[in-house]
Amino acid sequence: MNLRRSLQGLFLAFFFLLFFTAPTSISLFLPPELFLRADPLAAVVVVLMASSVAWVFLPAAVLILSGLLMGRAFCGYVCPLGTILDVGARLARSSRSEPLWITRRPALPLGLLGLVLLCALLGFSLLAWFDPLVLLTRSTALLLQPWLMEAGSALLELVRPWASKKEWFWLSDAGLQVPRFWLSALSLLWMGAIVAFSLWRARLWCRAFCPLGSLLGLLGRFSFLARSVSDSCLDCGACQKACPVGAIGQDPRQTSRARCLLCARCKEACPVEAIGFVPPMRSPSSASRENSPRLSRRGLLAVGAVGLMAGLTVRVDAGRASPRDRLIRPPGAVPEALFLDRCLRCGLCMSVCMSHTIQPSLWEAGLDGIWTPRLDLRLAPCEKHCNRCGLVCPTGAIRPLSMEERTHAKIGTAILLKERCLVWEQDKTCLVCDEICPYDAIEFKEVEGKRRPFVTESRCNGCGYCEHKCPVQGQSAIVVTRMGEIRLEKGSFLEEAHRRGFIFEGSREQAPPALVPQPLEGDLPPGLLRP
Amino acid sequence: MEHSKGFHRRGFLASMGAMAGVTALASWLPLRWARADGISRLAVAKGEAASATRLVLEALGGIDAFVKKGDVVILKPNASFPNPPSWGCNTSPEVVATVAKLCLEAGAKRVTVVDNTLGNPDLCFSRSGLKDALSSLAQVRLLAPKQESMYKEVQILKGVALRKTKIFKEVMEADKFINLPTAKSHSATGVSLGIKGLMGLVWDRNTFHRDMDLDQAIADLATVLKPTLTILDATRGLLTAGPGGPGKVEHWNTIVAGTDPVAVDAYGVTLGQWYGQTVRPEQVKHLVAAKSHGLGTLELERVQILERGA
Repeated sequence: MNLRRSLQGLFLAFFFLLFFTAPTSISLFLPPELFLRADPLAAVVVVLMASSVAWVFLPAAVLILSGLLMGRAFCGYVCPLGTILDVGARLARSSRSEPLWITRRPALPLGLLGLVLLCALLGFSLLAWFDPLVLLTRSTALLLQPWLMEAGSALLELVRPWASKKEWFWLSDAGLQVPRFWLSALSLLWMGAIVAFSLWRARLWCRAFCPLGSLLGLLGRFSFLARSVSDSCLDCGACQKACPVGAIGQDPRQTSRARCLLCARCKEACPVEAIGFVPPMRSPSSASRENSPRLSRRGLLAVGAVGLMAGLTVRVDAGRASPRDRLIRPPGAVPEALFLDRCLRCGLCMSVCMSHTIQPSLWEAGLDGIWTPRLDLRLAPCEKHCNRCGLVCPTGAIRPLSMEERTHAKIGTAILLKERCLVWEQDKTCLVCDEICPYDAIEFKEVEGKRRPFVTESRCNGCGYCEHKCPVQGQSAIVVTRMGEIRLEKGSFLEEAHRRGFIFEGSREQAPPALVPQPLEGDLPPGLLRP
Repeated sequence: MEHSKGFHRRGFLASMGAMAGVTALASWLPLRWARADGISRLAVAKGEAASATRLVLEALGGIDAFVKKGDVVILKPNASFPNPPSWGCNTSPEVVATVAKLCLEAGAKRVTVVDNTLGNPDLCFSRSGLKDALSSLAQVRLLAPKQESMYKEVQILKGVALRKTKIFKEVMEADKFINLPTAKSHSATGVSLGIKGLMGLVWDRNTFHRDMDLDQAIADLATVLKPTLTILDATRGLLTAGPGGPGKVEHWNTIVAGTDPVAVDAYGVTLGQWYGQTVRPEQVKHLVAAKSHGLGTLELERVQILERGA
């Protein structure tokens, strides 16, 4: 086990440790979103789109510095996706050669980086599709975590009878909540394609596409450490064969710093110890050995055209101009336009959500809203006593709120669909929405001699417990819409809620006495017979 | 020792034996006869939650009359809502902890406190105070059975509306089952006491509301879920806005217990003004249906009531 692999293993473990401890009360001193906040590509994109949150990307300074000093060393030693692709390539015995169409287009990653940045300028975040750390975080949230939980649940079911016989109740009573996500198939297709591609040819994603790697390579053109080859080189070709990313040209003295991961496998392979990694000025070989790609004029035009079309298409997408009525954002989400600018689509909020009501969007928020968090309240409610999503959001797209503030971050209002309601339509004694409502927003009133449920808008927080628990099959008879949602970039949700006349204090003991329900005049509560 | 006329050792022993026999008979026969001649026995104690719970059990002959050494005991409190005890929608943690402790003192092998909570189990157990109250009792297990495999389908032969349902498996297998409801109003069934609380041991409650007459279904369920003992926590009464609250809460400082689940509930009904109205037990539909199933007595004048405490 050499130093590089040990570091790769450590950082991968660290990435998963941060991820999987995020929803628990195990408090680490480091934020679970650390990797994302250290991501310079995410930093540049988000700052281009919403400059106000630049400070959250302070950790990215470390990576920028590392890029300036050591080029793409991050990709070779730290990047958790890179490590996974390395392990995959080893297991699959992937070839290190690359197809000609890639060799012929060395500027491809540069073009992709240009596209991501141009689209960001036009207000369209492509991080969801191309940033390796966003991709890996989201895939872990939407795929790996559910898979693990599903497997764990199956295992628990297997041991449950035995554990219960043994009276090991800590085991027999254990249950894992398996999160279920919309778009799992799409998430799998995209991530699966990237992984499959890199199993076919080792690290193909990293060398031919990754815009973050490309950005680090760009910084690395001025890097302090670079591969250098001394005159004792025999031109044997061993280093070219050993390089996992094809960074060494026809002339073994040539290195593409846009690709070199500083992994030093070439140095290990060299029979005459001609290779070193040293500051360029001390390099025995001349600076002309640098072999970095440039974007041709034609390439530049292509990037400009594609970027312009993509960016403009998103701007003229009606989905963005008129989001669906049922698009409920997590509590504390900033106003929609800003939200789309800030959101990385990393899926951390979905992963930590206590009830897993936070789901990836498909078209509900427009073309560029894919994978942004939306609440599926029929699937699960938004817990009143939970503020996890805002605490893990790397960019403040969902604001970190105190519990009291969170209680006042109204996400929508329930609407009762009378024609589906068991009480209104079928005269059944159902009270489930009233029973479960944590904010006590359902009131029964007398209508033509019968008790009928109503939503009190001023108390409804939009949590969706009613929509989730409504026993009507299929479409719920009570649904939460965006009406009345509170979205604030800054300032207090509590004050805003009070200004608008909402009352969300949990306890009637604190609420004005007028709100304590009085018995209806001459009304007989349900479940009771006339005396 | 002076021997009086007609007093012989043999006779003495015989009479002592007879007395012991009669005493023993007397201590368990009322429980047997209760159903036969329509006389149920209830104990009612006043006072602070833990002490009233102890008093009420003493009145019924102590916990030993119900829980034997080595018994596996299930306790079923109301714990469905992530709300503080002051709201009166969950059973007081002191009552649950006291009963659990007594069961252990009586030699119970294991005590399982269980409710299929409506809300998130962790939040319900922590915010109701139940988790803290039970944390010091090592042999007590607190469980919200959220895995379908923890339930088994039960046919309800006497069921009128409910013919079968999935019930928490262990309660069917346990030696003793003690129901620990709280006294509260309910916007579908009027009141929610012991018999209504049995729904917390069922896997799918939605079908009760959607597919059948709710009151009848609750009574049907009670024909297969028969508690050894029902201890009603009426330290607080939630008189409006039940079952979840917050509503009007009155402090009654009362615990009611008995082996007749209908009688306990009937007594509970008389404790307060539900929704501002005086309600008679025979007005509660699901209790009337339970009585029709022969599950107990609804007429409190035919119930022997043992009162204890201040």
